[in-house]
Amino acid sequence: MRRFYFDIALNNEIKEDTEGVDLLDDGAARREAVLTIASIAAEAIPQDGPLNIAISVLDEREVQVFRARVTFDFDDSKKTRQAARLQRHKVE
Amino acid sequence: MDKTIDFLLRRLGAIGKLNAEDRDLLVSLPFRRRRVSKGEEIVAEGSTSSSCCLVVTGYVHRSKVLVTGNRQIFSLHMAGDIPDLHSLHLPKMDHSLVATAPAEVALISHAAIQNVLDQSATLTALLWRDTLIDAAAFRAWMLMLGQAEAPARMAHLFCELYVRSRLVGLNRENSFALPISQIAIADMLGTSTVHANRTLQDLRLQKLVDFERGRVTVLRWRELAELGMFDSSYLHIMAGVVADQASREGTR
Repeated sequence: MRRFYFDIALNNEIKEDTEGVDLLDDGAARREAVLTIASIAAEAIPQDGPLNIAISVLDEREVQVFRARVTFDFDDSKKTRQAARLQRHKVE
Repeated sequence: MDKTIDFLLRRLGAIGKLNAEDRDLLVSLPFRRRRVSKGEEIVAEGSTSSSCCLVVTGYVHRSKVLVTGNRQIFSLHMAGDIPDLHSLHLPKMDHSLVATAPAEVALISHAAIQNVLDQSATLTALLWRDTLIDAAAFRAWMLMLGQAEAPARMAHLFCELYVRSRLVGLNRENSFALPISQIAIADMLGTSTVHANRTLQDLRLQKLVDFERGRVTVLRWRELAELGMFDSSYLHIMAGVVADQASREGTR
């Protein structure tokens, strides 16, 4: 078991993990991070407005092992299909 | 009277009518006590069981693990519960019974239970009622798991445990013991451990609950119940039994 710390930023609100979680290896930490970011997104997205979620995973030496990010952007301005296509390309 | 059966009598007396004859029959049940350590499997999935397990102290849970390694905890049990009562009729276990915290259980043989049930139709009906309430709790958990967000699920869990432990007299003022790991809580709520930790921190910051050294203290019952959309009617506690509704002195 190794201890990992999961620092999470939700828009501008950053929460640093001081307790940490004991997990088997980097792979387990990665699954934990993906599941966590998906859960936070599922709960935060139904609320209005753009959303940025970032999670950085640090090991016991406080070195970042990896980072993941999810962005949600909502636009309800009316536009033609052509304009919507262009907008999609721009996002990608 | 032996303390072992005492919690069972309290639970059954709170969820139905327990008459003096049935009380005597329950007290006469022979049992074998067994201590289990945290994480120890009491009855394994796939095994054939010949006894039921009455919880005396600590916590045990029912769970199942997918081939992916992901585990779901279906229910959490405390003193007075017989989480595998169904094994009397479904002896081949389709899930596991595991100690969530250090626990003590009393093993009562199926033969002994069948023997007392053969003598009393009212006791049979009462245990049937208990099993049906168990199923009602599964529906309540399913609703939360499928439709509610993590803070609501956690609030609902704490409300349920508060009411149930109060029912059997385990609460100390407005707090109850919950010496279980955050991984276990996450596996009950169907979320990641990190998200469960985060959610718990939020409930603490909002001053709804406190969770320290394995004890949960309910600081603001009404707000907690509101967040968890908690309605205790699925626990089918008899009217007039303390533990239900507003009898939460010490909490606002």
